[in-house]
Amino acid sequence: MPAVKRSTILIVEDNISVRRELELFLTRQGFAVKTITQFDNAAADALAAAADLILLDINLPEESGFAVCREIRLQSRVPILVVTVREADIDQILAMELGADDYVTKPYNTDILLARIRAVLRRSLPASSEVLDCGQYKLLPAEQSVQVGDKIYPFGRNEWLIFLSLQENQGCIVGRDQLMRRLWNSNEFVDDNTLSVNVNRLRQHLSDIHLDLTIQTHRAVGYRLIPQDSAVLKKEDPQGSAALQTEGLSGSGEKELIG
Amino acid sequence: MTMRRFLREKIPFLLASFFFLSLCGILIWAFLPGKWVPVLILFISFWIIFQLPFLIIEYIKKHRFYDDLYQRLSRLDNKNYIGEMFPPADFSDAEILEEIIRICNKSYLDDLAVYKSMQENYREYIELWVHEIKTPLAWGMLSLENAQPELCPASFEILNDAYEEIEHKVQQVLYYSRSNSVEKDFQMGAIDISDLCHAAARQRARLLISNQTRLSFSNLDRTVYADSKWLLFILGQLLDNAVKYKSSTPLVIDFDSYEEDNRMILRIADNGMGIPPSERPHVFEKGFTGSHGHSAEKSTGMGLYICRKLAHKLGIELRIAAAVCGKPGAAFEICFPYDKDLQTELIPSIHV
Repeated sequence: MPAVKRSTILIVEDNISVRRELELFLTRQGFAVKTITQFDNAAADALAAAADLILLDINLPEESGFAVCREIRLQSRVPILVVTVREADIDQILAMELGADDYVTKPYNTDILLARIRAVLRRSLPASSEVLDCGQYKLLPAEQSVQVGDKIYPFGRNEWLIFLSLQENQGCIVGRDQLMRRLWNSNEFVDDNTLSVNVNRLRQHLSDIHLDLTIQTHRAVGYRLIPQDSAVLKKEDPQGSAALQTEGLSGSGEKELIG
Repeated sequence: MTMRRFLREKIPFLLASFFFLSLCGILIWAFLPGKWVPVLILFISFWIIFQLPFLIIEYIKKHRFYDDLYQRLSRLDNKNYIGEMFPPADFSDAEILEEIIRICNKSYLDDLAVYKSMQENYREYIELWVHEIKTPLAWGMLSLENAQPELCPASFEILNDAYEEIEHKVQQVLYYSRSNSVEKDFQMGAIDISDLCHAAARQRARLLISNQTRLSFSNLDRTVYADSKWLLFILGQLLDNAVKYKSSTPLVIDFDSYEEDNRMILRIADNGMGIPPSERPHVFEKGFTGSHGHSAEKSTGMGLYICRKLAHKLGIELRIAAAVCGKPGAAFEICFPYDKDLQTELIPSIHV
């Protein structure tokens, strides 16, 4: 993600494999990640890390995650996301009582983990820091809007979620299933047809507000968001064009955008 | 104890008496040929006067005792405790019987305790195991996510599906063990039905999306009391079944609810193969797979069985909906006790 101060996440997790994978995963998702490897003084170490969010496992070797949670909460307002293996358990209630902001259960569904992390961060960060500068436009997540120049254009909910997904993976193909999962996670249970409709509406919207962006359709695979100039370049590249099958021929889609 | 039984028991004694009196008769006839009839009658009368009262008393005593014992037995919920509930008796048969039954009961209860604790240990181990296996599962899923760029998309999807199915199967083990336990380890709370259905759909998002599912939600603006996690599990199993027995694309699943007497019915209907009428009474039985179960993917027949047990513990009913004319597919209904007056109050519902 361009030109944004990255949020720092501290992972407090004793299982080395989980810790390593989690670190890698969150780093790739654009977070700065710190970890703790010694747990005899976990609360103090966690505070010293000065993270924006603490991902705290409940089963720790030295003292329980609950104790750590309480100690951190006594001294700081830093958001805490508790991780447990037990569901429907008193653990979760206890964690919330002790000041945790939310909880996730292992094994992590990565979509849900990310959604929870973003939600907790969004609640904790002041609204002003929620502007993502992407060069020719700015993203205003709180208002589900894009700012171009001085003008603010609001997006429909589904279009906004699709746009965010494509924008976060700019230049890469985002699978249809992946887009749909993101929408489902926000309780928008769209099916295949609705997704196509939403994407076309998004294309229309992008062209209406004169953004220089193209959404390429990769038939039966997914979509890719690229700045228009590079889209043209890609198309001239024989290898690239062989792989691309745009909907331009069938009348709908990016033709409107190019025009 | 009936008269017949008693008399049967006394046959040897009665026979002996008969032979004794016959012998007496022969002897009297031999020594007193003239007056043998009145003397024999006298003998028989003596026998009756001295023996019959004892027989009658014994019969009454035993009759009372065994009647009482049978009544106590029939009133006991747990028949094993009859050893402790013996009526007082003053004949040795009863005392011996009581002693033997007590000894047997004790040994039986000792054995039972052993098995109970074995069962309890096993359950504890299973639950611990389920929680332990979640860590490697978490690490596997994360590392798969991290390896995505290096993997071909097809194998990434396959591995992801596999992991998710493992997760759900592991969950099933946990809930099976819970459904068998005596403890009530659930938390009742107010649940918004619409939130619940959305959560169930999100939980199975990957599976449903890859099976081109179209969901519809209607009339779900209601609140019920139950354990949200258990209900989520039940809905998850129903969604799994809908996918397993789908017959056409797209798979359509409708969530709907309505009121019936003092109950709120949540109906989950699909457009799949449906359940043949002959199999309807059996779908909730343990190990029942049905005719589709063999043709489609192999099933264990455990899912619905566990669901019904959990529902029973929660005090709600899980049933197959009556067939709607001209509509193919299966429909399940979850029936909640429901108080309409409570709906008007603002109840904070649990975050699902």
